[in-house]
Amino acid sequence: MLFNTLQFAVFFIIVYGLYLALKHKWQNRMLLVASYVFYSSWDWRFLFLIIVSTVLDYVCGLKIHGAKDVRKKKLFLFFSVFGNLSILGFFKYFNFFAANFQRLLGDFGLTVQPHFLHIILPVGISFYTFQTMSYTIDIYREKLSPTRKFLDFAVFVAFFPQLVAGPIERAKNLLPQILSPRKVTLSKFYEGCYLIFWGLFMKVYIADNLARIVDPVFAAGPPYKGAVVLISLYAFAFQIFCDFAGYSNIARGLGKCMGFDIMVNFNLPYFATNPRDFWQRWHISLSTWLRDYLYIPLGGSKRGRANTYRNLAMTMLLGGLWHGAGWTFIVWGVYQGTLLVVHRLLAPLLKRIPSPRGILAQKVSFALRVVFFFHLVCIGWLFFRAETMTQAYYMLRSLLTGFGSIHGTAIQTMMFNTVLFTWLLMVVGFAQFWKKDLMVVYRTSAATRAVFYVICYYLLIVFGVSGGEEFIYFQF
Amino acid sequence: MKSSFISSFRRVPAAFISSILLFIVTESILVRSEAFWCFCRHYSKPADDDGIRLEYTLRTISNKEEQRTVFLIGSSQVREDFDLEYLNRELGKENTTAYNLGVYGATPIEMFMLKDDLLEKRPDIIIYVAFAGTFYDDYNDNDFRRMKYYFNPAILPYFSKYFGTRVMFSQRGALIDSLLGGFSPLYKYRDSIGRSILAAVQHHTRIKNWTEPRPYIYEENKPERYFLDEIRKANGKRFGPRPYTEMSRELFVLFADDVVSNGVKLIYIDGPTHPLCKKLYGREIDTAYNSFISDQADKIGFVYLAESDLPRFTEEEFIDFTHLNEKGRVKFSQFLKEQLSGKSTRSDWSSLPSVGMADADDRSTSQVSETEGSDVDGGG
Repeated sequence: MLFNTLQFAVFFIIVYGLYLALKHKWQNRMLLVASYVFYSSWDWRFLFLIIVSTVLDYVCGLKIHGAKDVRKKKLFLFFSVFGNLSILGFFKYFNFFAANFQRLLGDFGLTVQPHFLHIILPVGISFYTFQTMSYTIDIYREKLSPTRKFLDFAVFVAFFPQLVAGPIERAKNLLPQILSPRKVTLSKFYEGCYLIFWGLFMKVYIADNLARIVDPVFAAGPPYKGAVVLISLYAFAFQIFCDFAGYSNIARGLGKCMGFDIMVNFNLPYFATNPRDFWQRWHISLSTWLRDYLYIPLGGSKRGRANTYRNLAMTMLLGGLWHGAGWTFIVWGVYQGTLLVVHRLLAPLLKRIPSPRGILAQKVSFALRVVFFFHLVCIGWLFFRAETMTQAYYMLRSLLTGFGSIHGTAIQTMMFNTVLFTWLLMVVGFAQFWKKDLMVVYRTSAATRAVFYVICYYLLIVFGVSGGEEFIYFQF
Repeated sequence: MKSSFISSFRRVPAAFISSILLFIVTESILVRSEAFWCFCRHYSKPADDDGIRLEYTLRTISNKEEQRTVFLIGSSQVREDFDLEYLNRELGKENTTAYNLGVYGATPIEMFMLKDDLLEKRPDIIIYVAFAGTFYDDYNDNDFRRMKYYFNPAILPYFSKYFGTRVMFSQRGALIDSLLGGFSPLYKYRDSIGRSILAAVQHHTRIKNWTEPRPYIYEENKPERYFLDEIRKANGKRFGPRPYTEMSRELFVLFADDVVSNGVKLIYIDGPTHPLCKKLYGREIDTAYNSFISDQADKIGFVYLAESDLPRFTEEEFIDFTHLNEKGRVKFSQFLKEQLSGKSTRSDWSSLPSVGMADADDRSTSQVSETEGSDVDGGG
């Protein structure tokens, strides 16, 4: 059940109506049923997995908290982490590792026929397993007390607005909101509606239209024209942002309508000027999860420079692997890790460069850094989007050696269409950046908002893609 | 604690309400604007944009008393098989204007839905061109998707009767689309409008030149291999009785009856088909079809020009099984012009109340200007 379908609209209207009519305890039970119904609409067989993960972490959470012995705490933490990673590993990575194992042995002249399983990847598995692991880890770290209310905990695991594509909520943020009665105010309802509207606009008008520019380029084989690849990367950069941030906005909006505050997952990532800044703005729930549960336990930046670089690289490599069982995702992760390491290495040198004098010079300098770093991010997106490493190689090569001319109807049409579908996003993004407020449009005058909405209506009606296209991050 | 905001609905969503009102007002102004429809028509293409081209044509038809109007209706057969410029040049001498309202994939279902819109324009003559396949083919997903351009809620009871609720449920997206399109022409024609806007901007920014396309999309004759492949694939069953056949018959009867009752002369013409077309289906289909149309022509009182009444068309005059090429188009257009100009030898022409151009006493001496005819060329 995709957010951008009539089916979901009907579902939410019913759920919301019931939600408003019920008292707190029954609201939570209803939310649990609704979340399971929502998840079942993808594939009811995988409800079993969520329930297993829920029971596992509920029990482990209580046991960790109740254990006096540190070894026993560690044991139950191990059960939780191992259990969740096993589920994730099996469904997501079994065939990948089997295929690569076969290839590796083949390189040594050994022929092996591994048993490939016809495994369907359960939607959202990467998200909810990480979410539940954070619960037990935080209990182990004594940052959180476990809840004895199993049904409420189950709502935390399966909460439908953020179940299939995040944000990956922390128990200490979401669980108290579930356990306590929530106040649904008119202002929250309106804010929620705005977020849902803007999220749908990002998905239906921007992301799905940009997909029509990007997909044919990546569906074709070599040779590639560098100019075409570059424009498709620009388009993909905004496609993936609008697809994912759009989903997050809808999730936050749905939550807000019900009185929940779900974390912000994107904070103008393309205004970043360096990789560290980027990862504080892009997929914030994942980057903070990796920081808190992987990077810091590995030692973070506290054990010397070499260890820091190693920890950064490992964290980003696993971050890439989290996205998918494929070498392109791993390379993307390594690339992001490399950017972080290089930035750390160059940071002392960069600090010595004097800042430009004058406001205009500073703004120009900032703009150039943003544009430069945006292009570095786009190179990463090339690996992320490519179907295979071979394709990524040929495309990268075309950028360097086969750029070609930017003249020509096809290229200009691509450029034009990319601008057509992103101009309003740019306007809103600049306004958000200038006012340092993601809700800047919502907080403008009623007249400005009315005009903004009318423009969105026209763009949605005329150019909106109505096919109910899936969100990119569902595949993770 | 129960949520309490329903009882404290003090803040009215002014921006949202204003935006809805502003949208309704601006859309109303836009769709009443001739310039808007001219723009969409100018940057449209036949086939893909048949819906909006038809809308434009219907909106620009003038109901002048001294003018006689002829509507050519049907599917892409009509769009492709008539040279409207030629017809209007010739018919214009007799104070008559023809409008080509042929649209891709049109069946009696679409004609039934369009009936009221057509009759509202008070034509003198409606010429309906179709062939056996029109009544003996499936009504598939594409047809449901296109339905929004012509949708009339009066069709729903017939869908329910002949397709059943299961099919209607499976096509709920198309039905909802069609219902929404009834409220908003912008929504109805959004695909075409979007394409027009893109084409216009690309043209004016010199990215891609736009030249108004010819009203015909089929340019090259299919090779012989195409015909043989299609015949082999069809295995004599390309057309046949379908769940849709009875519905199309009933709707055709309702359509014809209503047209004739409104004093409009209806002429049903068997669309020319490639000599090999008969190999796609069994002979009994033709027999049943001819017999049905003849019976209805007698009962309702419209003119039926069967295949035997048409000039003979050879293989060289066809693009494919059902569409004429330039050569065939000229022949068919000449034939129609002769029929409408009173050169018909059929006895049933003179027996109709509004014989039109055949009546010399009614012939006006004033000339219809050529530009008026060519303003509504073969689009739609």
